[in-house]
Amino acid sequence: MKQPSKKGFEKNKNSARRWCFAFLGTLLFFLAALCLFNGLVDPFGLFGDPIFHWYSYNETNNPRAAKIAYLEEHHQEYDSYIIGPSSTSSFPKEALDRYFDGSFYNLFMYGTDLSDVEQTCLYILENYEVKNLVVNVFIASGSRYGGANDDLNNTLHEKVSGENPLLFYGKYLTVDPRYSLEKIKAFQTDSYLPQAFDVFCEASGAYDKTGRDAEPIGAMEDYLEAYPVFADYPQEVRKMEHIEEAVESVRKIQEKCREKGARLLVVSAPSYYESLFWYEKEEVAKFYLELAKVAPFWDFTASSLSLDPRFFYDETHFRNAAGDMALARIFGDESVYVPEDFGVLVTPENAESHVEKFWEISGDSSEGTAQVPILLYHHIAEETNGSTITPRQFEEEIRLLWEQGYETVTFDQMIAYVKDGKALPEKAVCITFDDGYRSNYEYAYPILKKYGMKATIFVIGASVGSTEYYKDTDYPITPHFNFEEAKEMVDSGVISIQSHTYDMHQYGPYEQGENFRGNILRLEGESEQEYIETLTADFTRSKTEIEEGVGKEVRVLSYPGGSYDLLSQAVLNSLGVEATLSIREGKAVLVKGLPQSLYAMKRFYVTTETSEEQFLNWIS
Amino acid sequence: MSLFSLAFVLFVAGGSLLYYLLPKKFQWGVLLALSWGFYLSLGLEAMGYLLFVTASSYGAALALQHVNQYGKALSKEERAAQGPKIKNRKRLIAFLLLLGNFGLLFFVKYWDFTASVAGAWLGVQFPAFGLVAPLGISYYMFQSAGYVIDVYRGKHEAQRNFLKYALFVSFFPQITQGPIGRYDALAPQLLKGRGFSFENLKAGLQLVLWGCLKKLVIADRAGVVADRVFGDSSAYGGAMLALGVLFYCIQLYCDFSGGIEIIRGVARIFGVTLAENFKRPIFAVSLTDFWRRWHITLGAWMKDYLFYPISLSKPLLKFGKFCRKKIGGRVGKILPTAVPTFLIYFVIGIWHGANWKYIVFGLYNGVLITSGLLLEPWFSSLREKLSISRESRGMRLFGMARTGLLVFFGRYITRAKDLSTGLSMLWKTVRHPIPSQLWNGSLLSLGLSEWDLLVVGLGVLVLLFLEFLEEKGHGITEKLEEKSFFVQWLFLAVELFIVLFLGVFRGEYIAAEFIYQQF
Repeated sequence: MKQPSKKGFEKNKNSARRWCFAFLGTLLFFLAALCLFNGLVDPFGLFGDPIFHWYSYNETNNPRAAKIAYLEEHHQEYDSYIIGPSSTSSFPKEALDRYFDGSFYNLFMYGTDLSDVEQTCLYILENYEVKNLVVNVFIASGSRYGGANDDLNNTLHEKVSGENPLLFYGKYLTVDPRYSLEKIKAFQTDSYLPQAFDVFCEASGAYDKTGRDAEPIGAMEDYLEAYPVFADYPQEVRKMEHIEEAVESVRKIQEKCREKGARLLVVSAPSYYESLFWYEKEEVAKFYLELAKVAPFWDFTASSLSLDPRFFYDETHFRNAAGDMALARIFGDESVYVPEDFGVLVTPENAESHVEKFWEISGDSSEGTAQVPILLYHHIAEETNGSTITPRQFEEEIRLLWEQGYETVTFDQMIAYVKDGKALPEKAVCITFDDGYRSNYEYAYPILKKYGMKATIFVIGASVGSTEYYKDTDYPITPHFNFEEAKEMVDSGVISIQSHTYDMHQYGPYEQGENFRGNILRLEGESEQEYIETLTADFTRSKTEIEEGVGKEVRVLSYPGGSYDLLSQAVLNSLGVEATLSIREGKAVLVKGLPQSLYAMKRFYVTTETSEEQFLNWIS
Repeated sequence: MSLFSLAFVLFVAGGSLLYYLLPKKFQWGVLLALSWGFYLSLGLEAMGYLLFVTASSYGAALALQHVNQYGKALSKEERAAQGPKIKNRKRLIAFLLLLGNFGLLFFVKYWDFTASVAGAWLGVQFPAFGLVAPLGISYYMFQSAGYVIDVYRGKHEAQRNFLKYALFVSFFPQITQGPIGRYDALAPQLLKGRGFSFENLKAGLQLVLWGCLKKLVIADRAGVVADRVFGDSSAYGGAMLALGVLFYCIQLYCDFSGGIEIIRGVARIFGVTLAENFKRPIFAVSLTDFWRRWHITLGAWMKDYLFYPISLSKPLLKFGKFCRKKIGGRVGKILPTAVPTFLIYFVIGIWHGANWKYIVFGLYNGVLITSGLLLEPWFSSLREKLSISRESRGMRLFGMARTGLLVFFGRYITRAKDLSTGLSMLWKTVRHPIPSQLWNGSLLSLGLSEWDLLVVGLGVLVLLFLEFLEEKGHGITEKLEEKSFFVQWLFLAVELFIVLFLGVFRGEYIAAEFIYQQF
């Protein structure tokens, strides 16, 4: 075998050396590129999220770390905090701010326990201005402790945990780049309603409940179908093995609050009653007795509200509506409906008797529920077709109601029932007209007046006062009443005028182009942003014109064609609409304290086909 | 400490730094300290086993050496007189050592299985101990046993320094999964002092990179499919099961050979060249050829320390004579070789573990290879009649396909949780293939995304292509050396990129939308 020459050997040696340095350099380059990429995209929000500023996403990935990172920049905007596990999210910031006269940040963390909570509280009390601190000691707090671990989604921020910053930030800089890629991908599909990847509201720190709060809720059967978990509730066994540690954490938080002059409020959030059976009675009693010794607390865990699944959206999470009621109870706000037995201030004095009565929950979900048949009419004329009925049919039906002793209720009354708990008449019925035809003024108004009944007419803003032509076209139109006539009816106290949108109930054949708006839903190909702007402008115009025209507030909208979705309902919520109507058949089911029961309410659509028997059946 | 942990990377980096910074005479000491430290990280108990095997083989070899020297010192006449006695003594020492060591191995690895099987036959309840064999025990035991037998045979001297010998037994890169080294090839390299060399570092890193690519990028992905299919074999049709087995074959090869390459690479960084353990088994033309290319050092060990002693043992020699006389012909000639051959493959099967499936796997290999040997005369006359050359391309391809298929079927048995599951999967593949599952989207239910499947597919194709070139005699590494530095760098960068971004970040990661749904 030929031996390599000395020169060749030297060359090899040099090339090996070069290769090794190239290896090291390339490796370092890739590592640096990885760190730069992760640092810039920042899927966990620990490096200032310089490009996206998308804390909602970051917090979804790890609320513990990302929220502290957010607060490091923004804590001057807040002077109060609420903290605890995910159920803490449902104490709405607006109510907290109002009652405490402060500016709250919801520092809740999913899957947390009092060990994380303690560490986080001590950190913010030491480093931020904290006037008020609300700690949610959820019933589950007695059964788990020290749960934070070092996986990416649950690590506490190094500032809170005292972890070596180099290791902490190093871990997130060298994280799997798919986390960053995923964030970029998600950014392109970000939407108005929260999606599974961005569940937080950046400014409040709470879950973004825009969608949750817009879900129409009504009859129990419908709810159990939509939320089958309550129909077949999971059975679990949870031992309360961490009572001492949990209570000790509360004590430490309290001590720190005293030292820093912060006001501490301890609450125990509502639980669905079936989940209470996961725990041993003796252990729950022990937990709450021990807790009361350390800090008096407001206990909302078990009450008649716990019996109604409609106040919960999964096994353990209650709705914002219940959070609003809890705060109203704590602050004695009489203007808000709160169930009698909801919330007890537990002190060392009454703790014994409280835990004794703890399991005596009684109540029936029908107690806070009312069923109201809402009738839907359109045009009235001698020449009938489908939804157009004769004046005679109308009068017969009204007389039937009168004979049977029905009392018409208005939407103001129904809203007051839900929000303030004001009673409704025993035999309540509600009469509505869609579109705003002149025949309503000509025929219906006098008949209603005659029988002492009330009704609500939902007008299409663009058609008010149109008697001959469809908008600016030459197409003939069924005449619609004008604001003068509307005001006369409103002033009489018989009629309420509400919105059927300004111009989102267009008639296709009379519109130019293909893309007309027959209903309130987003058009195909329309961007979400455009849609929200369009709907906002449309409703605002409708509301303004009606309020100017008749001098009464617009609070209700009837969905054109009955079509709606979560997005439309959420946008209308943001515009202050308090009730909406669908054309799904059935009685409207109103639940005291649950505003969602006013959304997309069911109605009975009266047509020429409606027999007397059917009519009686509907209203009985 | 896993080979794929950051801890191991730091361990090797720190260890090699220390190794090259210290004076040459201390270098082997560093290696021993690293090796024992590495093994200690597996637990004290494991360390106890290692020390027992090291000390017993060390002592046995010294004793054998002593007897050897005693024999050499004798005069011709004395030797003639004492010969049998000396031989017997040596045999006794070797026997005791092998009995002690393999007895221990049997006890920790096979006792419970044997007890349950024998107990069932005899209707007696033998106690089971539930012992867990420490990592790598069969590797370092084979390595040290080979050393003792070599000393017995006078192939080389025994090592007098216990610590130096201990390093040979426990060299950390190879201790957990081989390759099984030979004392005369390995020990001098371990004990020699050497200065730092970029060539070694480069060669080592190249091996490590390539191994990582096979293991992290290909094997770990393929393993997901194999786990899914073997984990719930009743859920799939036969074609999907076959696909699962194919993925298992890919996983096994890339995992094992990739691991060995990393081991060889790490050793190389310390200037030590370990024996090759794989030589492109996909190109094997017969099962015998396969075992010469797959887990080479195990096969070679079996050949040197089991096959020859058995073949040359008195009973076998007598048996050979008997065959030639009584049976005669070709069969009579081949039968004496066939018997030890069968035994070897049977033992290789059992070496894999204590389970019926491995016994059957051993029998499967043994029967196929032995019958191949016995039928070879008939095959060669058939080839002659058809005038096919054994070396022709068609014949080689046929051989490869046949071997591949036999190995493939064998994997049904070794990977399934037990023998009956493996056999029923095999049956299903033949009788109920439901091939539509291969293209109706079921593929995506096997735990890998389209992207991951693509990575495995492309990875295997590239691997096959490169191995094909190697098989043809084009050394890839050498060819690459001739290219410009830029090309070399490009190759390195691509490899590094793939290892980092498709290998290190290969596992489960939780997309934000799956973390928490209860908002």
